[in-house]
Amino acid sequence: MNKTVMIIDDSASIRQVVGLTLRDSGYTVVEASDGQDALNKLKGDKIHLIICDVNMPNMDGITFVKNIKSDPQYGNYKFTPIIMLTTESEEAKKMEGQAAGAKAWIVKPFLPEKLLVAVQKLSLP
Amino acid sequence: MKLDAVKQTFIVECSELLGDMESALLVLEKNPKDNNSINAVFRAAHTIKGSSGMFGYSGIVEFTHVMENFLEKLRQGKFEVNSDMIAALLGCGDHLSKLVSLFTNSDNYKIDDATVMRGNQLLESLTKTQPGMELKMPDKKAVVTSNNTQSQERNGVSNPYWHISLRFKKDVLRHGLDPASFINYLAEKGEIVNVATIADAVPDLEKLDAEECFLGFEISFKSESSLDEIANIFEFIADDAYITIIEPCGEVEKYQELITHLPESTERMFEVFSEMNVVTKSELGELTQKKSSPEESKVVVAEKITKEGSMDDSHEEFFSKREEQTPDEKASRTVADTAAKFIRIEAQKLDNLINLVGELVINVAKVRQLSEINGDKEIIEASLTMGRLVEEVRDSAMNIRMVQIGESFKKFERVVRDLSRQMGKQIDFKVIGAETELDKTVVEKINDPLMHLIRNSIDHGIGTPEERQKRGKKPVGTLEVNAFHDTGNIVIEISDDGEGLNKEKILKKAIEAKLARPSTSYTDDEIFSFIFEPGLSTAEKITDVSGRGVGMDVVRRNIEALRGTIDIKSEAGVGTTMRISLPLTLAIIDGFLVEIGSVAYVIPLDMVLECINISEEDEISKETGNFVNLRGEVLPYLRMRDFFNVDLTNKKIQDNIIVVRYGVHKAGLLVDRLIGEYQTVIKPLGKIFENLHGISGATILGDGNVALILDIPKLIKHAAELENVDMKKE
Repeated sequence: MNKTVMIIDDSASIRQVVGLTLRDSGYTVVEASDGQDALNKLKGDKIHLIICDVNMPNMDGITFVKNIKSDPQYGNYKFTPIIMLTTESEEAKKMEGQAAGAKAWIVKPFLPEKLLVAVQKLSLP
Repeated sequence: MKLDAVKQTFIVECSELLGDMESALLVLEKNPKDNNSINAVFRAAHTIKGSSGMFGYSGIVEFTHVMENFLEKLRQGKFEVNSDMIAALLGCGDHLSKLVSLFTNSDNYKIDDATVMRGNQLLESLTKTQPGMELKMPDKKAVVTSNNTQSQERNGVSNPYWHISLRFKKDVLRHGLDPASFINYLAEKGEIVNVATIADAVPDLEKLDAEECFLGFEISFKSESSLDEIANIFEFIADDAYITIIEPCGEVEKYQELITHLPESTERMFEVFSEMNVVTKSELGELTQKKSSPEESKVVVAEKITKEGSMDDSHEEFFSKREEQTPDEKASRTVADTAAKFIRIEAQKLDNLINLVGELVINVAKVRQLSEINGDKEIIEASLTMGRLVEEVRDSAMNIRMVQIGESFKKFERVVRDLSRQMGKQIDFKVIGAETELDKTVVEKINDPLMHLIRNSIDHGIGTPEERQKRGKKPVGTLEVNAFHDTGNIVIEISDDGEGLNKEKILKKAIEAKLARPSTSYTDDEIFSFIFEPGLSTAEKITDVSGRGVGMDVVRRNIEALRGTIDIKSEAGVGTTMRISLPLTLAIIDGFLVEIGSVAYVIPLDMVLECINISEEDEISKETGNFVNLRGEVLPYLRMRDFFNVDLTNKKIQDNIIVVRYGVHKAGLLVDRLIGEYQTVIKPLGKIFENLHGISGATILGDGNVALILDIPKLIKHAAELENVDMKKE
């Protein structure tokens, strides 16, 4: 069975490129436009890996990570690997996110291949 | 989905973000402390940078990177907003949209030097707004500093494989990192020759916490990769594990050091390494003496952990800071909440739906007609119900196409700002009724004409503060755009409190251009309508804003192409109001079916006021002229039979006058028979017929016949002209 990856980003073009890349490599992809949207979608699907932007409207990436790590209703995802997307100007955010429990980071802007490698490291399809 | 489609998304997204950025900047100009706007501007630059990077458009990335850095500092409150900064940022926004459009227009994305220069100038001007602020293009080189100190062959072991030693920290699983997945990935990049699982740290079952990791691995790995490449595989887990990588035939010292630092005892590791054939007994011979006591090594690890513990404290500080920030974000959150309720659909899909609904409407009419001829009661009933439902489907489908006109008004704000600065005028721009909805196609097509009218108002209408004060007005001029619904039409009014149109000057120009005769006297409406003629401009000098005399005629043509009209009201010294009236939709309307001669015609139902029945005796003779007395009101009317040259003198049919209205004008149309309401799917007539007088389109009736749609605004105008001719005769 294919591994399912969730991509959370407010930019539709990023979601689409990521989706395109990962699907080509044998993953199933679920898209969400912000943290809140992602939490809603988590209830439905089995997700093997989460890729999450930091800077998003509605619910940002850090809050999202804290939610799935601490809220028992998302207990199934407590150990789901998370890759955060950030820019180099957000060093503080990076540390915040690591403290919240997301250890894998990709610095935006990135090429899709780079993301694919990161995803494969954490979870092969 | 293809990559092209994704690029399309990228382009749309960019233009939306740049639009948001622009309006946020304009808000910021008025209210420099507005954090939401600063965030919005930042987010736009940030997101564009992120997504353009994925397509490899380094030009956009570099440009937005500098912007982002600048905005990040602004966001942190390191400096304050000033008007130069807004101007520079607006310029940057324009440049970005140019960069994006360059990308749209060519597959082979390349930025010419001039554009790069322009970009750099803009960034420089941005930087200059903050003295002491240094922003540099990111230095792409020296990102990876190689610490790959090649092993000298001296004292190497015979093991031809890489040796990788892993000890995971307890929290690794909680951080969402699965040690096994890294080892799986390692296997993708080379061959795992041998692996030993070190489970020595696993506690007794009753003490075991299933969420913690106690494992370690020793791996022999066959690969052509470099040390960096292998180290990179463990990039994400580096914080959560102790990793040692020793190159093939690595020095004995490295193994000795490794064994020293591992928590397991020397004997145990010695055993493991021998079993794996990593190092032989003789190679490690002297090691046994060097190995320090296991307690000591544990101390080293413990120290490391305490250090990290103190780092966690600093994280706590970050969290508490964040909590303080949250109220700022609330406003943007509500905006996002409403935004989340929308679905983005390709316009083509909607057009298809509307076309299908159009066909459905025509066919339901046919079913209804057939059922009335052949069917029994039940079929008639069913067809009526179906008709009503289809009507609802039609309305909902049309409603999907409706968008708020305010979106396009946003753009005007920027134009007003830029133009008024450029011309040294002060203008207060007001928008009323931004939430008024109309068909998307109409919105797109009305944009240019509106823009032109607004430019005109700023250029000709509103004077400079000095001029205005001389005339006893307040120095700040007002420009107002007002949109509202009025009997099936949308009306957009653009009013200014400027000088008003100069009638004498327009008339003089019109006579010069041979559009008017000097001898004739003209009404105000007629004089104003001259400005819509090609080649007439009253601007004293030609500016780059307006005054070329092309434009107003194009404005009128565009509006008429949408079946709309434009009226001017203007009073010298008080101001000018341009009133554009447009139909709400272009595709399907409620029509009123009438018969002239033996042919059916459709009148848009919105325009029908009432129908008057005139008996034979009352029939107005031609001698009474072309107007009737409607309850004391003079109503000009048109004999449609005469208008379309229908010869039916031998056939006596009862005459009906339909009173129609468009805008403020009324007229009567004399027709032969009233048929009734009819849902009309408008079909364009095609190019050959576009200059037909009095006909605006066609539709297909239920029985398959074609009915023409009357162009009521034109007919009303014609009737009014006839009336005037009559008046003048008298």
